[in-house]
This record gives sequence, C-alpha cells and structure tokens, in this order.
Amino acid sequence: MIDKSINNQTNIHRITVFKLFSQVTSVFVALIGFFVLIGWIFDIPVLKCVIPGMTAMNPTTAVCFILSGLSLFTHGVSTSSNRDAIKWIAKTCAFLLCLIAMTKLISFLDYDLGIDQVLFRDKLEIYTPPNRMAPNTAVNFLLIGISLLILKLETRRGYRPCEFTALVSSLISILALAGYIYGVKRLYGIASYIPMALNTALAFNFIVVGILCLHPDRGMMEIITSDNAGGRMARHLLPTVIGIPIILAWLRLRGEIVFHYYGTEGGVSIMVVSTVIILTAIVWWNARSLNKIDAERKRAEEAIEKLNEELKLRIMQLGIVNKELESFSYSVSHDLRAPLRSIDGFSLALLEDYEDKLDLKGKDFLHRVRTATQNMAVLIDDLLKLSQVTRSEMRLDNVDMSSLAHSIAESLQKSAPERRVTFLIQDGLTAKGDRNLLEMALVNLIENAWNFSSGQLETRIEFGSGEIDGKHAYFVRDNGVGFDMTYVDQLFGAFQRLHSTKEFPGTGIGLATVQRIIHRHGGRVWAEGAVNKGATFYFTL
Amino acid sequence: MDTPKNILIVEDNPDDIDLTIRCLKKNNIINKIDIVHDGAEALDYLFCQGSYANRDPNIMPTVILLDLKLPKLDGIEVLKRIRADARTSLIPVVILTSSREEVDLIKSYQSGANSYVRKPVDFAEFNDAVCHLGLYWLLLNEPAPKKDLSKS
Repeated sequence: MIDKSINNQTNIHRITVFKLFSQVTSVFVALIGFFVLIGWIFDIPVLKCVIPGMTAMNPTTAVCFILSGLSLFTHGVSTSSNRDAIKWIAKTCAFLLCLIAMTKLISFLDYDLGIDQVLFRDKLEIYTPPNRMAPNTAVNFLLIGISLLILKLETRRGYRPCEFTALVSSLISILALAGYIYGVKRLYGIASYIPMALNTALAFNFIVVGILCLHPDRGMMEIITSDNAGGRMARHLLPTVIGIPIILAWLRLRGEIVFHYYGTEGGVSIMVVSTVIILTAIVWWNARSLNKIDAERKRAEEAIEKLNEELKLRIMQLGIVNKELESFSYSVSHDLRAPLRSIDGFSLALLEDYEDKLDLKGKDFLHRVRTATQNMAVLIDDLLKLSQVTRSEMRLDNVDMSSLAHSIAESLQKSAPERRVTFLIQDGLTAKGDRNLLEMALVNLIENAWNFSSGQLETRIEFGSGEIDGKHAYFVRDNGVGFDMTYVDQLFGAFQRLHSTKEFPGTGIGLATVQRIIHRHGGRVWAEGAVNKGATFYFTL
Repeated sequence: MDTPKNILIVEDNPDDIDLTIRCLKKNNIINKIDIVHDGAEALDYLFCQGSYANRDPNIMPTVILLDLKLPKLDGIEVLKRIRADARTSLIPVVILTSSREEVDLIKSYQSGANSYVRKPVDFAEFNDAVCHLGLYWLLLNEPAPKKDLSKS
C-alpha cells in the first residue's frame, strides 16, 4: 500500500537532512540525561526539573535517556564497514533500556528491586513523595527499547513496527506534556504515583522524532518525505495541525483561568472560531500551492505532448527520406551500371571485330576505356555497399570475431600464396552485433592491413583486443607503410586516400564503410600509425 | 520431343539485347532467339494475344531470360503471371538483371524464378555468364514434358 516513489535529487537531499536531524536529536536526548545527572551531583534544580519546584527527572531515567540516545546514534552511524561493533553497542543499549524498564514495572507489582534508587539514594528521599521513576515513564522506556531493538524490522507490505511502538510512547508523553501545559495533573501522573517530569516528557518526544527520522525513506515516513503532492501536503500541514490547537488551547486557558477575561462558554467559542479561521487559512494556502504544482505539471505534460507530435512528424519525414534514398540507390545500382556494360561490351566488340583496322594506339585507347568503366563499376558497388550499411536492418547476434578473422586471413592467403604473412589472431574474441556488418568491417580492416603491407618482406598482421580508456577495444595492426598522423582525420572520409591508386589499389570507401558500421553499433573507431612503421586500427562496439 | 529449343529474351535496353545476342552467337548457340521489349509484350507473346495473336501456342520457349526493370509491367509481375498460368507455369525463368538488391533476389525466388544472374559490367564476364546460361538451360537442363503441360 505504501507507494515506492522514485527518489529524485531533492528527495535524496531531504532524506539526508532527516537522517542528520535524527542524529542531532539522539545527541540532544543523551545530553538532557547527562545534564540531569550533573544537576543531581551538584544539586542544580534547573537542570533536574526545568522549572524549580516541579517534579525532577529521576537519575535512572536520565541514564535511560543516555542509553536511548546512544543506541539511536550508533544505529545512525552504522555502515557496512563498521557494522559489527557498532551494531553490538546499539543492541546492548536498547536491551539494557528494556531491562531497566521491566525491572521498574515489576516493582509496581509490589516486588520493588529499587532500580531507580541506585543513584543518589539519599537525595531522592528529600522529596515528598520520594523521587522515583514514574510508571508511564517506565512503560515508555520499554516501548522505546523495543523500538530500538526492532528498528530494522519491516513487514512485507512495507510497515515498520518500530514506528508504531514509538508513536504509542509519544502519545503517552504528549498526554503528560498536555497535562503540564494545561495544568491537568491527572494527565502526567497516574493515581498516587509520582508523575512524569516535564523534561522527561519532552525528551521522550525528541527520541520518538529521532527514531522516526532515522529511516525517512521507509515505512510511514516515506509518505511524509515523498516528493509527490501528498508528501508536500503532509510537510506543510503537520506542524500547524499539531502546533495550532496546542497553542490556542493554552492561550484560551490562560485567558479563562488566569486572567478571567471570559468564562468556559466564551473560551470554547473563541477557541473554536480561531481554530476554524487558522486551519481554513492553512488549508487554503496549501490548496493554492498544490494547484500551482498541478498547473506546472499540466504545462509540462502539454510541452511533452507537443514535443511528441514534432517527433512523430520528424520520424515520418525521415521515413520518406529513407524511402527516397532507397529508390535512389536502387536506380544507381540498376541504371548506372547498364551504360557501363554497353561501353565495355562495345569496346570489346571493337577490339574483337575490328582488330585488323585498329593500330596499337587505338587498341590502347580502347583498353583504357575498358579499365575506366571497370573502375567505375567497382566504385558504384562500393558506394552501394556503403549506403547499404546505413540502410540495412541490424540483426543483433553473438559474433565469433576470432573465427571471422581466421577465415578472412585464410582467403587472403589463398589469393596470394607467394606472400609471406604471419597472422596473429587472438582466440576467443566475441562481439555482440550484426554478423554481416561486423564481417564487412573486419574484411575491410584486414584487407587494408594486407594491402598496405604488400611491400614488406615479412608481413605481420595482428587481430586482438585490449582495455583502452576503460573500454573493451578490438584492434587490427600491421607492419606496413603506415601513415602520417597529420592526416589521421582524412582516413575515414569516403573517397579519401592517403596513397595513390598506383601504389595501392582501392576506391577509398573501405574505411568510411568501417566507420559507418562501427557507428551503427554505437562504437568508436580510430587509428594510430607512423610513416613506414605500420598502422593500428582500433574499434569499440 | 524434337520441337526446336528457342530462347525468349525480355529486355528493354537495346544495347543489352545486342550484347546478349552477340554472346550467344559467339558461343555457337544458334537456337532461335525471340526478343520482346517490355512486360506487356512478353505476356502477349507467351499467351499468343495482341500483336502475337497469330503465334503458334504450341511452341513455347525453352527458357526465358527476364530483366527485372521493364517498362509497363515489371519483371516480377511478368514472372508471377507466367507462374499463374497453366500454359507457362513450368517454363524455366532466369532473372538476368543489373540489380543485386536483397529484396529483388528474395522477390524473384518467391515468385518462382529458377535462377538469378546478375549482369556483370565486365563484358568478358558477361560473355561467360551468357555462355553458361545458354549451355545449361538449352543443353544440360531437361525441360518439363509438354503433354503434362496441356493436361494440367
């Protein structure tokens, strides 16, 4: 039932503040206990009972507060590294707390162990009645002790029992506080027993707040710290809903009993009217801020809607452009090739049928025409391949890169058995990607390495992988002619060549194709090399 | 069974027609070659209608060389009509085209093509391809018996 809202930045900040607040209250509560003990040692009434003449906090009660503060504090600072020792302290303190409270409670069954008379025994007896731990205080310590013991416990539906026990103890101490504020002794004292001291009641409330704030992102507290509208409303309303009635009632009673401005009827009506006015104002103010949030959300929704529409339009336009591109490359594939075939075919026909009429120069011209047409055919094919890389659908697969490299190396070696080439291919390399595209990329890279090292007596071509800048990168390395790093940016452009076609054949589309393939896989491709020192091409996927 | 083995070429590019005929002749394939220039004409020829109404419907080509990109009806459509009609459904059809697009390959085979050959730009290679086609479909390949054709 408890909504697990998504924690955003402000919410995380808020949770840290709540946790810090829990730490502060735990220290504060321990300090209250500590100062009460000082008060008992040096007989300082202000420290013992806030207002001299009122009930003083029992020294054992003070010790109990130190224990609960310590337990809560250690709970708060426990991390995974220091867990064991700290956890032990937290549990032991809580356990002692329960033990003391139980011992005291048993004493009300005429079995007094005198646990609250261990400290400052003589000084306790000066008071009439003698200073003891109040029964409601003992019950409260038992509840707090249990809360601290089951702090981590959480039901399957997200409830935390420790919150309920803490709240019950808070209820008891708030009753006592109300008794002090409005002068109703029955609320803080039970029958003829000694009443709960004022500072005790206050300290209980602090420790309860501390327990609730220790895990602000869980249980009931999650609702209050949430960044959603409900959380905001709770944070706005809670302080006033709790504070306003308490203050108003106190003012009313002072006007009625101390100053006799009005009687009971007048007091009730003044209090009712002022409560109605103040709470209405707060509700109105809260509604306004909720409305503002709602309006903002609506505006954001509208903006998203608009963006979505634009996006849809863009996708439609892209689809049309893609279709056009497809039909364009289809025409290129079909229509651009047909005339080439005619040029080549009829050139050959001329060479064959009119051989006797052509001199050597004429034949040479026709040979050149044929070479040029064939170059253009290769160019068209490469261009189509390049555009296919971007157009074709990606089919993701686990690709065995090592075996791909092996088969490419094999076919290259077969094409030129006279060349002495050592292939060093790392075993077990796999990649997730489109098999056809990755093969195309690897063929281009290894063929490049093969071509540009053709001048070497001993060629070495490596395919491997390594960790580069924290990313898994593959590389193809050769000991060929390499390149000048000044021109590294030109390497991957279509039709860009760093060597003449006479030196090394090719259309200058290979690396552009590789780059497109790698980019389609969301990776990066780059090269390192030096003139006559070989080249290394790296890519990530 | 000794009906003459002839070839039907469906091709709109006159250069390609001339070059194909040249190749066939050069490779001593002297069978009769009929040429049609678009998809509609191809269907007229095969079903003896329109300007081919006087053609003998008993004489069907041994193999059809079909281009994909044709005026009026495109190659795939012609192929589908050929396969849909009992008179022509068993004639071997070879797609001879410039395209190597995956879609064209898939569509051709799906529509019942028997073979798919991409015209190489290099004329020497083109020559080889046509030569192989002629030898294979006219000499090596055994066509479906005629009698069954008319029955089915």
